[in-house]
Amino acid sequence: MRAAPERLAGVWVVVAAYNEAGVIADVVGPLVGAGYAVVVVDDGSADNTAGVARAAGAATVRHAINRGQGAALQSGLRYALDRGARILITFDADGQHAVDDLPRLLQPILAGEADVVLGSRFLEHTAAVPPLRRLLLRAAVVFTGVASGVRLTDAHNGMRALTRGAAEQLDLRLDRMAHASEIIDQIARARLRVVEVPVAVRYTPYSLGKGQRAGNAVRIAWEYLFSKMNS
Amino acid sequence: MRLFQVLALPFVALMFVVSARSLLSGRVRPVASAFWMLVWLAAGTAIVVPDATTRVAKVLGIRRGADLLVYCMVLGFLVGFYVVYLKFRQLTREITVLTRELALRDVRDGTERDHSSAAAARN
Repeated sequence: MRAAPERLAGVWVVVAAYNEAGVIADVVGPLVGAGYAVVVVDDGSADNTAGVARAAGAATVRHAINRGQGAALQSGLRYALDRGARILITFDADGQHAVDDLPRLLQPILAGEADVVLGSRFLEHTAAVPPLRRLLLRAAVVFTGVASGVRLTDAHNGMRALTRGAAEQLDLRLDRMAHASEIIDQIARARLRVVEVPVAVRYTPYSLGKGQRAGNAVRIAWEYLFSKMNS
Repeated sequence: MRLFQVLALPFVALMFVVSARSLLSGRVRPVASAFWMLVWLAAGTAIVVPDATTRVAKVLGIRRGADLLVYCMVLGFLVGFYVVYLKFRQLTREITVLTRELALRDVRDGTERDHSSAAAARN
């Protein structure tokens, strides 16, 4: 499934990457091939993530030091907005998302039905999620739902699409993983129209190794709650 | 005069003078200077008149002056930690903003090659 190229004018895919030189070309290549403008934010990688991403056809922004995924995404959004992006997509760098899901992600925005479209691995595709991860993600959904008032099926999916107007209202201040809940929170506060669409998440040993460990959940929750109390 | 008083009083007096000078100089927030002057004044009083802490403690429903001091210290440390933690978070935030601005400036300056025109041209 491919979106018509003319519909992709002004559609930017923002990829936050940290030490992903080994896989970033496989992520950027298909995106560029499908006609998307791609910006990879190299978040202070020790390897040649930026160079590989550029060679694969992406624009790059390089953080001098590692600031975390939330910080990198915010930088990428700024970059794309500065270049007149009409629609902005966030996309994980570890190869867990499928380019083929993007047209489905874009559809509600192109149809004018949503300001924000969130990918969910739980609307379909549930079989592929490892049990412990599924439990954690369910907990995150409940937690985010209670804290932000937005009911979702998947709170921590890295694949999202935002209109320019929605992206301009985001100001991610939680540098590390808690930004996923923070995004939902800011979407709720700005009263943006949110739609979830099913997307596939490919779990590979590589992406699982890169993903969040159970112990981090407490830290993420703390960071998020603390920022809510002090905002 | 006991040895402890001989050792501690000059120190407390010195700190009081330092706080008073900072209040007069206007370099530190007046509230902060006044707070520290009060702290050193209370410390000096407690050193000169040890029973004073016990009297204050009794008014507050605590039996011993030493207990009052411990409670105050614990509270002080907690507040201190909180203030430092807030400051730490603010610094972290500023570092992120700085990192972002530098990265985006590198793109503008061409230090980091800007491929946006190539990327956008494909659309």
